[in-house]
Amino acid sequence: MEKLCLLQEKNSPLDKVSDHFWKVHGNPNIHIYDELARGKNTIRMPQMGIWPEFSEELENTFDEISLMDVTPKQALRDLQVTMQSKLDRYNARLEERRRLGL
Amino acid sequence: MSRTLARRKENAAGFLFASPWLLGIAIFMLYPVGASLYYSFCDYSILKPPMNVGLDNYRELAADAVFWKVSANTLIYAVLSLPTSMLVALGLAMLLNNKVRALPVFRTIFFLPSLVPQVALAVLWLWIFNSEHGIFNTLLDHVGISGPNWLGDPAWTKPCLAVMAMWGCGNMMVIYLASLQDVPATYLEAAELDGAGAWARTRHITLPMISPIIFFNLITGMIGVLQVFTVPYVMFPDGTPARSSYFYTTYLFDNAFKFNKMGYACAMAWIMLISILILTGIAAKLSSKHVYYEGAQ
Repeated sequence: MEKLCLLQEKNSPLDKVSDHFWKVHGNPNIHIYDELARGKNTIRMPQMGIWPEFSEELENTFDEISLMDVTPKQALRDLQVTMQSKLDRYNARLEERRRLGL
Repeated sequence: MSRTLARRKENAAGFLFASPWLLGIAIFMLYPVGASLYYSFCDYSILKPPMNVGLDNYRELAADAVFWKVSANTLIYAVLSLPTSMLVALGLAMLLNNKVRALPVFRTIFFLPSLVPQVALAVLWLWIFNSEHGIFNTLLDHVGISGPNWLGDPAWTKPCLAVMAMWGCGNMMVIYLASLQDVPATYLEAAELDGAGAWARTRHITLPMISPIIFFNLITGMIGVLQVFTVPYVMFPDGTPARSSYFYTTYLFDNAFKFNKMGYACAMAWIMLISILILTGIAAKLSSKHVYYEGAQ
Protein backbone atom coordinates (compact mmCIF):
# COMPACT_ATOMS: atom_id res chain seq x y z
CA MET A 1 0.00 0.00 0.00
CA GLU A 2 2.84 2.33 0.94
CA LYS A 3 4.61 1.69 -2.37
CA LEU A 4 1.39 2.19 -4.33
CA CYS A 5 0.75 5.56 -2.65
CA LEU A 6 4.36 6.52 -3.24
CA LEU A 7 4.17 5.71 -6.94
CA GLN A 8 0.83 7.55 -7.27
CA GLU A 9 2.29 10.46 -5.27
CA LYS A 10 -0.58 10.62 -2.82
CA ASN A 11 -1.16 10.33 0.91
CA SER A 12 -1.15 6.89 2.54
CA PRO A 13 -4.24 5.65 4.41
CA LEU A 14 -1.93 3.60 6.68
CA ASP A 15 -1.41 4.73 10.26
CA LYS A 16 2.37 4.30 10.08
CA VAL A 17 4.67 4.56 7.07
CA SER A 18 8.46 4.26 6.79
CA ASP A 19 10.84 7.23 6.77
CA HIS A 20 11.65 6.30 3.19
CA PHE A 21 8.05 7.27 2.24
CA TRP A 22 8.53 10.85 3.45
CA LYS A 23 12.04 11.17 2.03
CA VAL A 24 11.38 10.14 -1.57
CA HIS A 25 7.73 11.21 -1.93
CA GLY A 26 7.11 13.18 -5.16
CA ASN A 27 4.94 15.75 -3.40
CA PRO A 28 7.11 18.03 -1.21
CA ASN A 29 3.98 19.07 0.78
CA ILE A 30 2.78 15.56 1.54
CA HIS A 31 3.11 16.24 5.31
CA ILE A 32 0.22 18.71 5.10
CA TYR A 33 -2.10 15.97 3.82
CA ASP A 34 -1.03 13.69 6.64
CA GLU A 35 -1.62 16.43 9.22
CA LEU A 36 -5.06 17.15 7.75
CA ALA A 37 -5.99 13.46 7.91
CA ARG A 38 -4.95 13.33 11.58
CA GLY A 39 -6.56 16.69 12.47
CA LYS A 40 -9.15 16.96 15.24
CA ASN A 41 -11.76 18.28 12.80
CA THR A 42 -11.43 15.34 10.43
CA ILE A 43 -14.68 13.40 10.12
CA ARG A 44 -14.74 9.77 9.01
CA MET A 45 -17.66 8.08 7.34
CA PRO A 46 -19.66 6.17 9.95
CA GLN A 47 -19.13 2.40 9.94
CA MET A 48 -22.81 1.44 9.87
CA GLY A 49 -24.92 -0.58 7.48
CA ILE A 50 -27.36 2.21 6.71
CA TRP A 51 -24.64 4.73 5.74
CA PRO A 52 -24.75 4.13 1.92
CA GLU A 53 -28.48 4.90 1.98
CA PHE A 54 -27.92 7.97 4.13
CA SER A 55 -25.14 9.14 1.80
CA GLU A 56 -27.39 8.81 -1.27
CA GLU A 57 -30.20 10.67 0.50
CA LEU A 58 -27.71 13.45 1.35
CA GLU A 59 -26.61 13.69 -2.28
CA ASN A 60 -30.21 14.05 -3.37
CA THR A 61 -30.77 16.73 -0.75
CA PHE A 62 -27.77 18.70 -2.06
CA ASP A 63 -29.15 18.32 -5.60
CA GLU A 64 -32.53 19.69 -4.54
CA ILE A 65 -30.90 22.63 -2.80
CA SER A 66 -28.61 23.45 -5.74
CA LEU A 67 -31.56 23.26 -8.15
CA MET A 68 -33.44 25.57 -5.76
CA ASP A 69 -36.39 23.17 -5.58
CA VAL A 70 -36.50 23.64 -1.79
CA THR A 71 -34.85 25.87 0.75
CA PRO A 72 -31.86 24.38 2.62
CA LYS A 73 -33.85 24.51 5.87
CA GLN A 74 -36.79 22.59 4.37
CA ALA A 75 -34.49 20.11 2.61
CA LEU A 76 -32.63 19.31 5.82
CA ARG A 77 -35.90 18.99 7.73
CA ASP A 78 -37.19 16.52 5.11
CA LEU A 79 -33.91 14.61 5.25
CA GLN A 80 -34.12 14.40 9.03
CA VAL A 81 -37.67 12.98 8.88
CA THR A 82 -36.84 10.47 6.13
CA MET A 83 -33.59 9.22 7.59
CA GLN A 84 -34.80 9.14 11.19
CA SER A 85 -37.61 6.72 10.29
CA LYS A 86 -35.18 4.60 8.25
CA LEU A 87 -32.65 4.59 11.08
CA ASP A 88 -35.35 3.62 13.61
CA ARG A 89 -36.45 0.74 11.41
CA TYR A 90 -32.84 -0.34 10.86
CA ASN A 91 -32.13 -0.29 14.61
CA ALA A 92 -35.36 -2.16 15.38
CA ARG A 93 -34.38 -4.92 12.97
CA LEU A 94 -30.87 -5.10 14.44
CA GLU A 95 -32.42 -5.41 17.89
CA GLU A 96 -34.80 -8.13 16.67
CA ARG A 97 -31.86 -10.03 15.14
CA ARG A 98 -29.97 -9.75 18.44
CA ARG A 99 -33.01 -11.04 20.32
CA LEU A 100 -33.38 -14.03 17.98
CA GLY A 101 -29.65 -14.71 18.02
CA LEU A 102 -29.32 -14.33 14.22
CA MET B 1 -47.47 -55.73 -20.58
CA SER B 2 -44.46 -55.48 -22.88
CA ARG B 3 -46.06 -52.45 -24.55
CA THR B 4 -46.33 -50.68 -21.13
CA LEU B 5 -42.71 -51.52 -20.40
CA ALA B 6 -41.62 -50.18 -23.76
CA ARG B 7 -43.57 -46.96 -23.15
CA ARG B 8 -41.97 -46.55 -19.71
CA LYS B 9 -38.54 -47.03 -21.22
CA GLU B 10 -39.38 -44.51 -23.89
CA ASN B 11 -40.56 -42.01 -21.26
CA ALA B 12 -37.42 -42.55 -19.19
CA ALA B 13 -35.26 -41.97 -22.26
CA GLY B 14 -37.25 -38.82 -23.02
CA PHE B 15 -36.74 -37.48 -19.49
CA LEU B 16 -33.06 -38.40 -19.66
CA PHE B 17 -32.60 -36.42 -22.87
CA ALA B 18 -34.58 -33.50 -21.46
CA SER B 19 -32.77 -33.65 -18.09
CA PRO B 20 -30.10 -30.98 -18.89
CA TRP B 21 -32.87 -28.51 -19.64
CA LEU B 22 -35.00 -29.66 -16.67
CA LEU B 23 -32.02 -29.34 -14.32
CA GLY B 24 -31.12 -25.96 -15.81
CA ILE B 25 -34.61 -24.56 -15.33
CA ALA B 26 -34.80 -25.99 -11.78
CA ILE B 27 -31.42 -24.58 -10.70
CA PHE B 28 -31.31 -21.31 -12.60
CA MET B 29 -35.02 -20.43 -12.76
CA LEU B 30 -37.32 -22.18 -10.27
CA TYR B 31 -34.97 -21.99 -7.28
CA PRO B 32 -34.08 -18.26 -7.71
CA VAL B 33 -37.76 -17.39 -8.29
CA GLY B 34 -38.84 -19.33 -5.19
CA ALA B 35 -35.96 -17.96 -3.12
CA SER B 36 -36.72 -14.36 -4.13
CA LEU B 37 -40.36 -14.82 -3.10
CA TYR B 38 -39.24 -16.16 0.29
CA TYR B 39 -36.64 -13.39 0.79
CA SER B 40 -39.23 -10.72 -0.07
CA PHE B 41 -40.78 -11.53 3.33
CA CYS B 42 -37.39 -11.39 5.09
CA ASP B 43 -34.80 -8.96 6.33
CA TYR B 44 -31.81 -10.29 4.42
CA SER B 45 -28.42 -8.72 3.79
CA ILE B 46 -26.68 -11.77 2.19
CA LEU B 47 -24.00 -11.69 4.92
CA LYS B 48 -26.39 -12.72 7.70
CA PRO B 49 -29.14 -15.36 7.73
CA PRO B 50 -32.58 -14.14 6.60
CA MET B 51 -35.02 -13.03 9.32
CA ASN B 52 -38.75 -13.28 8.64
CA VAL B 53 -40.47 -9.88 8.83
CA GLY B 54 -43.83 -10.82 7.27
CA LEU B 55 -45.23 -8.10 5.04
CA ASP B 56 -42.97 -5.36 6.45
CA ASN B 57 -40.97 -4.95 3.22
CA TYR B 58 -44.17 -4.39 1.23
CA ARG B 59 -45.54 -1.99 3.86
CA GLU B 60 -42.25 -0.09 3.86
CA LEU B 61 -42.36 0.12 0.06
CA ALA B 62 -45.86 1.59 0.14
CA ALA B 63 -44.57 4.39 2.41
CA ASP B 64 -41.25 4.87 0.57
CA ALA B 65 -41.22 8.19 -1.34
CA VAL B 66 -38.25 7.05 -3.45
CA PHE B 67 -40.17 3.94 -4.55
CA TRP B 68 -43.04 6.11 -5.85
CA LYS B 69 -40.59 8.53 -7.45
CA VAL B 70 -38.74 5.78 -9.37
CA SER B 71 -42.07 4.16 -10.38
CA ALA B 72 -43.31 7.48 -11.78
CA ASN B 73 -39.97 8.07 -13.57
CA THR B 74 -40.15 4.62 -15.15
CA LEU B 75 -43.75 5.12 -16.32
CA ILE B 76 -42.97 8.57 -17.77
CA TYR B 77 -39.94 7.15 -19.56
CA ALA B 78 -42.05 4.26 -20.91
CA VAL B 79 -44.71 6.67 -22.20
CA LEU B 80 -42.06 8.85 -23.87
CA SER B 81 -39.87 6.10 -25.23
CA LEU B 82 -42.09 3.20 -26.34
CA PRO B 83 -44.49 4.94 -28.78
CA THR B 84 -41.69 7.00 -30.37
CA SER B 85 -39.42 3.96 -30.79
CA MET B 86 -42.28 1.93 -32.28
CA LEU B 87 -43.26 4.70 -34.71
CA VAL B 88 -39.67 5.35 -35.81
CA ALA B 89 -39.02 1.61 -36.27
CA LEU B 90 -42.23 1.21 -38.30
CA GLY B 91 -41.47 4.28 -40.42
CA LEU B 92 -37.94 3.08 -41.17
CA ALA B 93 -39.20 -0.43 -41.99
CA MET B 94 -41.77 1.03 -44.43
CA LEU B 95 -39.06 3.11 -46.11
CA LEU B 96 -36.74 0.12 -46.31
CA ASN B 97 -39.55 -2.02 -47.77
CA ASN B 98 -39.42 0.03 -50.97
CA LYS B 99 -37.37 -1.14 -53.91
CA VAL B 100 -34.53 1.36 -54.08
CA ARG B 101 -30.87 1.06 -55.03
CA ALA B 102 -28.37 -0.15 -52.40
CA LEU B 103 -31.20 -1.35 -50.14
CA PRO B 104 -29.06 -3.86 -48.17
CA VAL B 105 -26.63 -1.04 -47.38
CA PHE B 106 -29.41 1.15 -45.96
CA ARG B 107 -30.83 -1.77 -43.97
CA THR B 108 -27.40 -2.44 -42.47
CA ILE B 109 -26.84 1.24 -41.64
CA PHE B 110 -30.16 1.53 -39.80
CA PHE B 111 -29.68 -1.78 -37.97
CA LEU B 112 -26.08 -1.17 -36.87
CA PRO B 113 -26.83 1.19 -33.89
CA SER B 114 -28.78 -1.58 -32.16
CA LEU B 115 -25.61 -3.70 -32.12
CA VAL B 116 -23.60 -1.09 -30.18
CA PRO B 117 -22.98 -2.25 -26.57
CA GLN B 118 -25.11 -0.33 -24.05
CA VAL B 119 -22.18 1.08 -22.04
CA ALA B 120 -20.43 2.37 -25.18
CA LEU B 121 -23.75 3.86 -26.30
CA ALA B 122 -24.15 5.63 -22.95
CA VAL B 123 -20.64 7.12 -23.11
CA LEU B 124 -21.18 8.23 -26.72
CA TRP B 125 -24.43 10.02 -25.85
CA LEU B 126 -22.81 11.62 -22.80
CA TRP B 127 -20.55 13.41 -25.29
CA ILE B 128 -23.38 14.22 -27.67
CA PHE B 129 -25.55 15.72 -24.90
CA ASN B 130 -22.69 17.56 -23.16
CA SER B 131 -24.05 21.05 -22.55
CA GLU B 132 -20.78 22.87 -23.32
CA HIS B 133 -18.98 20.81 -25.96
CA GLY B 134 -21.66 18.37 -27.18
CA ILE B 135 -22.73 18.09 -30.84
CA PHE B 136 -26.36 18.95 -30.06
CA ASN B 137 -25.65 22.26 -28.38
CA THR B 138 -22.89 23.16 -30.89
CA LEU B 139 -25.40 22.71 -33.74
CA LEU B 140 -28.03 24.70 -31.84
CA ASP B 141 -25.46 27.45 -31.23
CA HIS B 142 -24.92 27.72 -35.00
CA VAL B 143 -28.61 28.56 -35.51
CA GLY B 144 -28.62 30.99 -32.60
CA ILE B 145 -30.33 28.79 -30.00
CA SER B 146 -28.80 28.36 -26.58
CA GLY B 147 -29.28 24.66 -25.83
CA PRO B 148 -30.35 23.51 -22.37
CA ASN B 149 -28.24 21.57 -19.92
CA TRP B 150 -29.48 18.20 -21.22
CA LEU B 151 -27.89 16.05 -18.55
CA GLY B 152 -28.07 18.48 -15.63
CA ASP B 153 -31.66 19.70 -15.90
CA PRO B 154 -34.23 17.29 -14.36
CA ALA B 155 -36.77 18.26 -17.06
CA TRP B 156 -34.51 16.98 -19.88
CA THR B 157 -33.02 13.74 -18.55
CA LYS B 158 -35.94 11.47 -19.47
CA PRO B 159 -36.48 12.97 -22.98
CA CYS B 160 -32.72 12.51 -23.59
CA LEU B 161 -32.99 8.83 -22.68
CA ALA B 162 -36.09 8.46 -24.91
CA VAL B 163 -34.14 9.90 -27.87
CA MET B 164 -31.35 7.42 -27.17
CA ALA B 165 -33.84 4.55 -27.09
CA MET B 166 -35.04 5.59 -30.55
CA TRP B 167 -31.51 5.24 -31.82
CA GLY B 168 -31.49 1.53 -30.96
CA CYS B 169 -34.79 0.56 -32.56
CA GLY B 170 -33.05 -1.59 -35.22
CA ASN B 171 -34.33 -4.88 -33.77
CA MET B 172 -37.93 -3.70 -33.89
CA MET B 173 -37.35 -2.40 -37.42
CA VAL B 174 -36.13 -5.79 -38.68
CA ILE B 175 -39.20 -7.54 -37.24
CA TYR B 176 -41.50 -4.96 -38.87
CA LEU B 177 -39.63 -5.32 -42.15
CA ALA B 178 -40.10 -9.11 -42.16
CA SER B 179 -43.82 -8.71 -41.50
CA LEU B 180 -44.21 -6.01 -44.18
CA GLN B 181 -42.73 -8.37 -46.73
CA ASP B 182 -45.42 -10.91 -45.83
CA VAL B 183 -48.30 -8.54 -46.68
CA PRO B 184 -49.87 -10.10 -49.82
CA ALA B 185 -49.21 -7.93 -52.87
CA THR B 186 -52.58 -9.01 -54.36
CA TYR B 187 -54.50 -7.11 -51.64
CA LEU B 188 -52.47 -3.96 -52.24
CA GLU B 189 -52.85 -4.23 -56.03
CA ALA B 190 -56.61 -4.79 -55.74
CA ALA B 191 -56.94 -1.74 -53.49
CA GLU B 192 -54.85 0.32 -55.90
CA LEU B 193 -57.10 -0.74 -58.80
CA ASP B 194 -60.10 0.35 -56.73
CA GLY B 195 -58.50 3.79 -56.42
CA ALA B 196 -57.07 3.60 -52.90
CA GLY B 197 -54.18 6.00 -52.30
CA ALA B 198 -50.93 5.22 -50.46
CA TRP B 199 -52.29 6.30 -47.04
CA ALA B 200 -55.55 4.34 -47.50
CA ARG B 201 -53.60 1.22 -48.49
CA THR B 202 -51.35 1.59 -45.44
CA ARG B 203 -54.21 2.24 -43.05
CA HIS B 204 -56.69 -0.37 -44.29
CA ILE B 205 -54.40 -3.16 -45.55
CA THR B 206 -50.78 -2.92 -44.37
CA LEU B 207 -51.38 -1.94 -40.73
CA PRO B 208 -54.16 -4.53 -40.08
CA MET B 209 -52.04 -7.24 -41.74
CA ILE B 210 -49.02 -6.51 -39.55
CA SER B 211 -51.07 -5.82 -36.39
CA PRO B 212 -49.93 -9.06 -34.63
CA ILE B 213 -46.32 -7.90 -35.10
CA ILE B 214 -47.14 -4.41 -33.81
CA PHE B 215 -48.72 -6.07 -30.77
CA PHE B 216 -45.67 -8.32 -30.29
CA ASN B 217 -43.33 -5.30 -30.46
CA LEU B 218 -45.59 -3.43 -28.02
CA ILE B 219 -45.42 -6.21 -25.43
CA THR B 220 -41.69 -6.92 -25.73
CA GLY B 221 -40.94 -3.18 -25.92
CA MET B 222 -43.07 -2.48 -22.84
CA ILE B 223 -41.25 -5.14 -20.83
CA GLY B 224 -37.93 -3.72 -22.05
CA VAL B 225 -38.60 -0.07 -21.20
CA LEU B 226 -40.00 -0.92 -17.76
CA GLN B 227 -36.72 -2.70 -17.02
CA VAL B 228 -34.44 0.06 -18.34
CA PHE B 229 -31.15 -0.11 -16.43
CA THR B 230 -27.73 0.01 -18.10
CA VAL B 231 -27.83 3.34 -19.92
CA PRO B 232 -29.23 5.48 -17.05
CA TYR B 233 -26.97 3.67 -14.58
CA VAL B 234 -23.90 4.65 -16.61
CA MET B 235 -25.04 8.12 -17.65
CA PHE B 236 -26.64 9.30 -14.42
CA PRO B 237 -24.94 7.86 -11.31
CA ASP B 238 -27.40 7.72 -8.38
CA GLY B 239 -30.20 9.02 -10.63
CA THR B 240 -28.88 12.57 -10.67
CA PRO B 241 -30.00 15.32 -10.95
CA ALA B 242 -32.44 15.17 -8.04
CA ARG B 243 -33.43 11.56 -8.84
CA SER B 244 -34.98 12.63 -12.15
CA SER B 245 -33.28 9.71 -13.90
CA TYR B 246 -33.60 7.21 -11.07
CA PHE B 247 -35.51 4.22 -12.46
CA TYR B 248 -37.19 1.23 -10.89
CA THR B 249 -34.49 -1.34 -11.70
CA THR B 250 -31.72 1.08 -10.68
CA TYR B 251 -33.32 1.54 -7.26
CA LEU B 252 -33.86 -2.22 -7.02
CA PHE B 253 -30.17 -2.82 -7.85
CA ASP B 254 -29.05 -0.20 -5.30
CA ASN B 255 -31.20 -1.77 -2.60
CA ALA B 256 -29.81 -5.23 -3.33
CA PHE B 257 -26.12 -4.51 -3.84
CA LYS B 258 -25.44 -1.06 -2.40
CA PHE B 259 -27.68 -0.89 0.67
CA ASN B 260 -27.52 -4.68 1.22
CA LYS B 261 -31.33 -4.81 1.57
CA MET B 262 -31.84 -7.97 -0.48
CA GLY B 263 -35.28 -8.71 1.02
CA TYR B 264 -36.51 -5.23 0.13
CA ALA B 265 -35.11 -5.60 -3.41
CA CYS B 266 -36.86 -8.98 -3.79
CA ALA B 267 -40.16 -7.39 -2.77
CA MET B 268 -39.58 -4.71 -5.43
CA ALA B 269 -38.83 -7.41 -8.02
CA TRP B 270 -42.10 -9.19 -7.25
CA ILE B 271 -44.08 -5.96 -7.48
CA MET B 272 -42.46 -5.32 -10.86
CA LEU B 273 -43.29 -8.84 -12.09
CA ILE B 274 -46.93 -8.51 -11.02
CA SER B 275 -47.19 -4.99 -12.56
CA ILE B 276 -45.79 -6.25 -15.89
CA LEU B 277 -48.19 -9.21 -15.84
CA ILE B 278 -51.14 -6.87 -15.22
CA LEU B 279 -50.04 -4.42 -17.94
CA THR B 280 -49.50 -7.28 -20.43
CA GLY B 281 -52.94 -8.67 -19.55
CA ILE B 282 -54.55 -5.26 -20.10
CA ALA B 283 -52.73 -4.85 -23.43
CA ALA B 284 -53.80 -8.33 -24.55
CA LYS B 285 -57.42 -7.61 -23.57
CA LEU B 286 -57.48 -4.24 -25.34
CA SER B 287 -55.76 -5.64 -28.41
CA SER B 288 -58.32 -8.39 -29.06
CA LYS B 289 -60.45 -5.92 -31.07
CA HIS B 290 -57.54 -4.36 -32.94
CA VAL B 291 -55.21 -7.24 -33.78
CA TYR B 292 -56.05 -9.27 -36.88
CA TYR B 293 -54.88 -12.90 -37.06
CA GLU B 294 -55.27 -14.24 -40.58
CA GLY B 295 -55.84 -17.87 -39.58
CA ALA B 296 -58.23 -17.06 -36.69
CA GLN B 297 -61.99 -17.36 -36.93
